[in-house]
Amino acid sequence: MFNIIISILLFLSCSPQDDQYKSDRESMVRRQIEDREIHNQPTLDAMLAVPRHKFVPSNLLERAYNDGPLPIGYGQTISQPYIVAYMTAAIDPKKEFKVLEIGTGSGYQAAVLSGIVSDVYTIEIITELYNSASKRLRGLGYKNVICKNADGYYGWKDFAPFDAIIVTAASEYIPPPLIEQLKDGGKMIIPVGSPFLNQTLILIEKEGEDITTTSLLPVRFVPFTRGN
Amino acid sequence: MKNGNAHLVRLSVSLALLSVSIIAFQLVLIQILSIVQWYHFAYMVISVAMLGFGTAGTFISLFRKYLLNKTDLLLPWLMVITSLLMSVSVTISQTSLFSFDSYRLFTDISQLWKLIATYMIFLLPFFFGALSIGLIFVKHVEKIGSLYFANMVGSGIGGVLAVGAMWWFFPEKLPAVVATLALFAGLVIIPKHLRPRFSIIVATAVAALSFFYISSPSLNVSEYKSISKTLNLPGTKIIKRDSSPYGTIEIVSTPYLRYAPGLSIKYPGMVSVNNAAFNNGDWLGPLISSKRDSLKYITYSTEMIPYIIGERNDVLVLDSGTGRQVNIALLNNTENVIAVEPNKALLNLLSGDFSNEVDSIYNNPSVQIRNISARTFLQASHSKFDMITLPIIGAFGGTSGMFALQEQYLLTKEAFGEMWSSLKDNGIISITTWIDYPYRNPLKIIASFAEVLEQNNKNPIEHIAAIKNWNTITFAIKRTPFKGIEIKVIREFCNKMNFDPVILPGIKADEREKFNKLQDKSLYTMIDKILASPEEREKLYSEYPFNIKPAVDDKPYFSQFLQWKSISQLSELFGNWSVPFFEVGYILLYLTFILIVFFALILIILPLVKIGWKGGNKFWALIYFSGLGTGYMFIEIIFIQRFTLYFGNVIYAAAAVVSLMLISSGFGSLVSQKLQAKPNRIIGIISFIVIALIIYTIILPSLLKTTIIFTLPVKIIFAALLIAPPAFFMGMPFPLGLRMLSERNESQVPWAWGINGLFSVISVVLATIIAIEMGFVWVMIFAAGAYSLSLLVNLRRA
Repeated sequence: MFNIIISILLFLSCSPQDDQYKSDRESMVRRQIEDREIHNQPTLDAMLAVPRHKFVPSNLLERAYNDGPLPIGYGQTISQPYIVAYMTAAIDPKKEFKVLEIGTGSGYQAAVLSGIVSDVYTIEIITELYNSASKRLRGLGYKNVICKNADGYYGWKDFAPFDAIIVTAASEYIPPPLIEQLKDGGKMIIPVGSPFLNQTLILIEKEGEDITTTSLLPVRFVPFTRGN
Repeated sequence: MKNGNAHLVRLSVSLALLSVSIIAFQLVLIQILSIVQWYHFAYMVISVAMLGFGTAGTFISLFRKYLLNKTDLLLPWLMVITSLLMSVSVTISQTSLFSFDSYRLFTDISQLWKLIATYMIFLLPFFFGALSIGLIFVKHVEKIGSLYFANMVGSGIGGVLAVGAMWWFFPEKLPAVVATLALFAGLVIIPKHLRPRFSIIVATAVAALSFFYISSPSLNVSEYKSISKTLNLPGTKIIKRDSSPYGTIEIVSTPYLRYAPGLSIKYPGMVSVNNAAFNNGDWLGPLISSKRDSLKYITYSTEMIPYIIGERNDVLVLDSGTGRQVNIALLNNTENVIAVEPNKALLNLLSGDFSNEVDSIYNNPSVQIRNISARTFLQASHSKFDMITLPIIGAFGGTSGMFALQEQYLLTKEAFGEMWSSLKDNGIISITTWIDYPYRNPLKIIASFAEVLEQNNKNPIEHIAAIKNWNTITFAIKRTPFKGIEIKVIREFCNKMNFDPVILPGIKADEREKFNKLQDKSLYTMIDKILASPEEREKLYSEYPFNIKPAVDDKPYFSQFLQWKSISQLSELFGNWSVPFFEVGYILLYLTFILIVFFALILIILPLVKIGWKGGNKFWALIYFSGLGTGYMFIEIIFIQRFTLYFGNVIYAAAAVVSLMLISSGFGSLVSQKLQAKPNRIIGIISFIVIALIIYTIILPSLLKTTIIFTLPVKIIFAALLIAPPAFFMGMPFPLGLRMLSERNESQVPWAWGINGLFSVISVVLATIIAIEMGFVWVMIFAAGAYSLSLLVNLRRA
């Protein structure tokens, strides 16, 4: 009987607005991600599950599932859903992975990773963003995400090495400590360019002493075939 | 009579003061908007705001009778209002309600409304100022020669005064300072019987301006500008702020900023933490000091390529900025470094208060500083160098056309040719660029050098080496062909550092992708095509959607890649909404033009409702005054462009040219007062102007090139001798035309004045479009064409 009451209450508390967000999210995953050739199932599932509207400023709620980045203050953005999916899929995340994220921002990327991998360690240098993101992640119950307010340049030695590192803020060079803290066979991904304009991604792979980088071409950018 | 003269003098003084104030305010606004946003937006906002002049012409046309009856009473009021609006508009524009962010313009509709509101706010002071000028002209059209003289001389002085004031005042203080002049302009012409009543108003205005000066608005800088992002880092603060006409320099102290472009992924140590300098909120460079940290990381960069293949004793660092390249040269034991940097304010800081922060490089006996533009140095110097180096091209991650409209004389084919001629036998030009996507910057650089080398009968493949990291490419262009041992050293360096050779004599395809792979490999095939032959290169130029043809002095827009013919192709490839993000500046330029033409048409047509559509002198007035407005502005722009290279400093060149032109034209206008306003007279004067323009089009470039080595005072005299004669005559047709019109149909005078103002505004934007699409020489040809039109309509009347 108690269970039935709880179920009724839950049903009643699920507002039409939440249904709308759910449908927006489904549409986002289908049109912005799957249609652009991202088929990594854990990534798609995680993007479907994470309520992106809880990570955007309240005045931008209606644009939470739009195909673009949104400002979160301090010159930072919550990335375009497609970029989040692309970065997540690029590291080919596995259940047992330990992932380091540099640049927590709103916490959205960490939340997406949280549903796929075992542990997420995320570092944010801007104190105000760290405070709001860590509170938000805690409040939404992402228990396998650990946040730190520090300079991402040094990585997080205490929990190194990592299976993958996601750098969410564009960086002019790859900090040597991050390379060091990447596991043998690990992958690191880093964006280049402005989030509001053209963003491409660089994938770094470490195999023993060998480190290679690949400048990835997001599938929305069709290559210039005549050049080939 | 005596009273009449005294009144004319007072009116002229007032007009001159108001003109000083308006021109100075315009320059101050450009400076402020360049700080809070970017130069493009400053340019766009000002262009639209200047429509205030045309609006005033239309307003006077519509309410002519009423306004002329009350002119004496209205003028002081209008000037006081102008003065207050100058201060108030800046303060309001910086509040969160109106402050827009250009970065979000294409993604957030609310920013568009804020932008439109900003236009309106800034249009107001120009409208009221122009209304005052227009009323004086229309009311006293018989004295237009003398009044136009006051207007022109005032405007000329305003330009110089604003540039001077920027050394003394921070930009946010300047609106109140220049507004004071508009207030004085009003004070001079308060009618005697109204002085007691006005004293309260004036006292209130003085109090208000003092308040705006003391509590000047804090500038609401875009959160996406480099400085804002840096200041978000904990413990980061501005430790020095200095204002100059070059912009506002800010030195930022931070415990977190590390700058290491092109750093090898193999570098094992730490990267030095730097303080940094910003100009108008944009990144200028790091303040590198070996006293704080080891600078070993610098040797793990693609930029080391010239140093690993030979000794570099004489190094020329062009646009040396905060001295990073100077520091690299000194770390590599260079004996003589010449650092060329045009920004005097920056040099003052780095050789003065902040000398220690940059290892006192600018006080190092091995370093000679040249405070001049790089191109002027290259043209005037006969020295030879082991190495010439330039700042990194583009911005990390691409600028998306933020600099598309910027004239970059250091990156033209002629500039690269001059660098080539300044090399010693073993000398190298070193140039690094960020790898952008779609590929543009590296392709244009390699195309420029390929053409320069072929012009010098060299095979580009033997003289160019390029190596890449994951995000940068460094090109080395050597005077003599690369030797086998040098090629070997480059390969070894690449292997050690995880770099890949991209261009190297005898390179194999797989070498290019050993460490840093590109998913889109067309970069290599396009580079090969550029180097293969002129035919292959030309074919690529025409096929590639972006403009990768080398920039030339006549079209010095290196960062302008977008072209109209490929917009549909790009939309197809990248999606409809992607195009503005490739090159915002280019798109905005055309948007601004369309916007201005649209409003201008409305403002030209509207008075016709009142003054009638047919008959009179309307066709004549329209062609004549639009031709004069267009021709004058085109010539002003062309002169600024030509003399920028000549003087080696864009700010002083612009100030000198504008002032010389306006003051000379002012005297021309004064003399015109003695002339009869007849078509034959006008035909003679305009014919002289057109002939002078044709001669200047042919001889000016070579004349300036030969005399560029003269000392500065000689150059100034020479420039005055070149500019003053045509400018003197260019000052005559406008007042003569207005007088002629007033004799035949007085009601059309304000309409004609408005047309002239509107076309002056349109011409500024149009000149940039012509320069980008066709080259500056065409701006000169169109200027001659515009004057010819004004001449032609008079032939019919002669």
